[in-house]
Amino acid sequence: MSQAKKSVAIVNASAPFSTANAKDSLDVALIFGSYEQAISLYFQGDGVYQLIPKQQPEFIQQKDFLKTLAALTFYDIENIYVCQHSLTERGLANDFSIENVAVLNRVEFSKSLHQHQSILRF
Amino acid sequence: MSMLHLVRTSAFQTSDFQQCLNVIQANDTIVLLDDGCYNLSHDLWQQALSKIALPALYIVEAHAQARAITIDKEKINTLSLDALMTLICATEKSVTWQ
Amino acid sequence: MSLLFNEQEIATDKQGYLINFKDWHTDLAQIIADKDQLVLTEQHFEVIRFVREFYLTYNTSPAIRALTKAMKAEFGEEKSSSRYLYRLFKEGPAKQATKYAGLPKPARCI
Repeated sequence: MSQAKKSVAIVNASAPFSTANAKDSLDVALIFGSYEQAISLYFQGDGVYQLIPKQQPEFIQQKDFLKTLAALTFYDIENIYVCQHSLTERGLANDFSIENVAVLNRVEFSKSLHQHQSILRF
Repeated sequence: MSMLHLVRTSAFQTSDFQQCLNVIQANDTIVLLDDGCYNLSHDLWQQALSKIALPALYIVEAHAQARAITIDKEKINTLSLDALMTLICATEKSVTWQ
Repeated sequence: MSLLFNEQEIATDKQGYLINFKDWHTDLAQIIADKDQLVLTEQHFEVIRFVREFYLTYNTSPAIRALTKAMKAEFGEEKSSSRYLYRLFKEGPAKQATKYAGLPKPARCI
């Protein structure tokens, strides 16, 4: 419990390209990682669209920051959770651009999120 | 461990409040502030009432008054800005929905 | 600012980082390093190539911790320790190796 108490969670709730939220969120996560601060990532609502494979932002002149998600493990970011309900709502399969993602049902998602003291939502 | 949910956007505009209700637990607290105050007249407020006991549901009075929102004491409690500060400082865990 | 390479002008920023990472060539690395009076060895090049590969795969220049962790898998403990890397790149491995690899400076500073 004491370990969970100090940890920080980031909730990604925005689709990747139309706002800077997703990119900002990733930058924050990598900074926490660089300073060895434990951090968990959650994807809920339109945030689940960040994990869809084979996106090609170069068609809309954007840098493909989604490729960076695959490097999270080098920043010791290994707790990554996705809301099953949000996937189902959007008709999305459990098929992600990165590995080691845990899909949680509504109850598990809520419970997991409640373990964190600080929650940053983007 | 209970959590404080600060809801700042209208459910008529975004799904922030819906997502809040999706993760909320029975002993959590909800505060409606800024455009979040409009949620009092959204259908979702019934869901909030069914999940959280009335004493843990608040609206920031000044923000509601500014928007000419009628406060039904059966549906929510009012909070002054000072009381909001006290609540936030006393809370160990919080999340802002915006 | 620019460098002269194969009779072509290559644009750089004030600190010597290439403006366009696609302008890079293995032989350009030493020319960039000349400005820091550093002679690159095969040990330097191992890191430079690795950092460049990292950038092409993940679209970001690795910060030092990520660099050491990623290198460990490929080169083993000894050649991925921050002490080893700092001995090669005294101004900071992430900062310096990305420069010679023709990449943008890591945004997240360390």
